[in-house]
Amino acid sequence: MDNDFKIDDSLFQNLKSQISQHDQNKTNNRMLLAQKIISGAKAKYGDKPGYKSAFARDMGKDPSIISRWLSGTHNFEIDTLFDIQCLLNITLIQTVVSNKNEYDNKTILLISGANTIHTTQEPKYVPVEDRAEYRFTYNYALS
Amino acid sequence: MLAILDVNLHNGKKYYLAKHQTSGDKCTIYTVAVHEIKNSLFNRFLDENNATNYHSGLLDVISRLTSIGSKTGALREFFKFGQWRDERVCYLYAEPPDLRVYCIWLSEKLIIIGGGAGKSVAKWQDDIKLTEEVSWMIQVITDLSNKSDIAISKDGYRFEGNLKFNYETT
Repeated sequence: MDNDFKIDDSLFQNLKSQISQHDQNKTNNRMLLAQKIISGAKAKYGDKPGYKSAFARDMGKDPSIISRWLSGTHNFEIDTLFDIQCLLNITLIQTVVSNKNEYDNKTILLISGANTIHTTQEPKYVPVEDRAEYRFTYNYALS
Repeated sequence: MLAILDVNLHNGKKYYLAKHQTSGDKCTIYTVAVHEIKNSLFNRFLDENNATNYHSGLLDVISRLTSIGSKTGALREFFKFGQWRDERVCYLYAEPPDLRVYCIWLSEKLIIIGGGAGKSVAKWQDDIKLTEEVSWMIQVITDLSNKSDIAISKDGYRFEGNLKFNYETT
């Protein structure tokens, strides 16, 4: 039997050490986000090769753009994420707004999705035109 | 449309498959260790591009493979398919987007990574380096298909059996 040789991974290790945990987390998040969009699109259009075309049509985008979105490399604009989550009925963004001048630090507003505002209590629909004036007050420990 | 691939495969060359360090709970990533170069195709890819403008792209590739191994698995959408003789041959690209590393996609749980390069020509077939890397992937998937003493484990996460190819037996 021929002798094996051992792979020298020193360059790989060196390059990997140049990736900060912060940058790795960014890559993880981009790919996890793509995974979530893929799951949402397949749930809506079916898990078959043509699902990207239907997704592209409903988003009003070229299929090549959809492929890039799903590749896990794309840096999305917030408006695009809102459009996607509305179409696919999934949650991609949760925005936490805290106004410490007006409220104590236990008063926060959670916006999840384009059309709903969620709290740790009862989710409640709030029309877009009313949101600027809308606040929830409840006990929520910031962690 | 599939392009007709006219390349010299690496028939008879000794190599073995080894689990790569980017493997994780979500996907096992194998690399192709070639006896002739005493290195893996992936490490050669890193070595050839490390001191070039593709350095940041290499970090992106490693980072993406790490995510695939431990966070997401190898979703098909992360890879580019087509144009090759076997539908499982694909590539993972990085920023800058013209840097690509060729792979064999077997499932979301199991992939093989090969080598790659930056794509500086319109057609990859016009680039000797890219052609060589594609031909290696075709060689490996061809050998895998023909080899009877290797199989994929029941859980789908690893190869079982003899991972050496074209080694002499005693």
